[in-house]
Amino acid sequence: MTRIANLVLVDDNPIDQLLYRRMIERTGKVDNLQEFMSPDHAIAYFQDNPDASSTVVFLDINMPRTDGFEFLEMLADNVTGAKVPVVVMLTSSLNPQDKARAANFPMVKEFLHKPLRAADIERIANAYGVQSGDL
Amino acid sequence: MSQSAEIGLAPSLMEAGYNLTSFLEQVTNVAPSIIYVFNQKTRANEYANRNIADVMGFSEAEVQAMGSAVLPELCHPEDMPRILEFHQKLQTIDDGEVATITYRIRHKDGGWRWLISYDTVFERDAQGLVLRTIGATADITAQKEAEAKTKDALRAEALATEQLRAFAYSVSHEMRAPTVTLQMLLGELENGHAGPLSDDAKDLVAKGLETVARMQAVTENTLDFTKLVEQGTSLERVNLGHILSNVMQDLAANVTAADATVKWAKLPDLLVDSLQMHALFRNLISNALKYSRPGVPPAVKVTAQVGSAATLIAVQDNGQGIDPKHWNSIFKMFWRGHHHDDVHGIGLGLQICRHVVTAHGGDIWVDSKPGEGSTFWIRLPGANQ
Repeated sequence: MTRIANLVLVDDNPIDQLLYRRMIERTGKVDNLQEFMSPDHAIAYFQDNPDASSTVVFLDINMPRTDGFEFLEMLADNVTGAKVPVVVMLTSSLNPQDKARAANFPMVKEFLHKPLRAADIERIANAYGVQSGDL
Repeated sequence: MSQSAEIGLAPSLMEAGYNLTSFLEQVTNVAPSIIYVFNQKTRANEYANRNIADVMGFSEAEVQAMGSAVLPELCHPEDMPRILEFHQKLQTIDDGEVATITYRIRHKDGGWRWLISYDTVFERDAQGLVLRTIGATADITAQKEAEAKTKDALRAEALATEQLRAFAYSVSHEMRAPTVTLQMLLGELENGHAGPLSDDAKDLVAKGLETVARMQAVTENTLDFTKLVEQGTSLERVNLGHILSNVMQDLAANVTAADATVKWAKLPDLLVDSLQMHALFRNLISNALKYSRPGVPPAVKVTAQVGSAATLIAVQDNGQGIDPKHWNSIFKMFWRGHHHDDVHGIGLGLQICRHVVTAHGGDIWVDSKPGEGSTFWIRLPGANQ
């Protein structure tokens, strides 16, 4: 069984964030949780912590000022090589163009539609997490 | 007997034996046009029949007094380059050739009138250069104004439609996010993550989740509809039976759940938009499954008759049927024939069907016996070729 060492949530909706936090805490699959309602603050976090190799990002698309795609471009400029995080798009958008656009970013591994389910967190922890023993 | 009379043409003026001067005077008097002679050397109008006063407000004498200033004096400045070009062209045309131009002229009242002129060579000088041209001009202001009005109206309508479309799309998009949040909130309660619930509370939460599911169906269907409209129509030759097989794959779970049978005869190849036809069949068949009679497993049959100019498709079911008074309203947006507890319809399915059929230049209508079943008829132009 693997765990997510560091999970960064980027979503402008505080209620969605609250629900994700409750769900993540219940799964017990995440060691450290960072929550950002503004993509700009999340970018500042990655500038301070450029090694994101054991980080998973849950990223919303429709956000004010900086949207999910602008965030991805900024992230690609700031984090490079083997240090990039695994990004999971988590959106209520049903627009197929959004999905196609996300696929252009190599660090985007999954495209999930809200609502997030506990099973999604467990699956992602197993697919992209690290062994519990490593920590 | 002249040859022209034999083949039914009017005899020439000479043959008719009319007094030419009298004939021409009368013609210039009754013609609804301005008839004029323009001197290409002096750039002045030398003759005009009395109608010039009706159209321009200026008398013939006033026009003649303008001399060589007549064109810049009367013509719309924006049209002047075209008019000068036209007059240059008149110098080079062959005898009997007619040149035409539309342009604006200033009325004596200060307003503009749209005119159309037909000009031809009237007289050449000793060198064979065009000296005078003769022309007839009609006032087409009313026609031009009507054209402009129609154009404005069409532009306004297209803009309004585009705004409504964008509005519907963004409303359904914006509605989706809070609906999903609400679903997650109620899900926390439903799963007991906020502590155990009383039976009454559980029941209320379950009803809340049902309501959220309905909201999601409305927003998703609205999105589907606006997407379908936005994508436009691209025609390709497709077998309708192939489309129907794909639809049945989508609806496999519904068919099993409803214990339904869906059959179709050999269906033709038609020039259609396959995505749109998919949406059409999907909606018609899922309606047939939804609006079945209690205790009667749905049986749906799709047939087609190929005519010389059109194909008639029938989607027949053995369901509840539709009261004749609703036969037209079912195709209206958000119309629902049932109390929302009965059947989970949201009133966009047949709207989508009508859009698809209309986009293909066809018609859709229903024929039904309440308590026995309905047949949806689709007439699509174009036969199996």
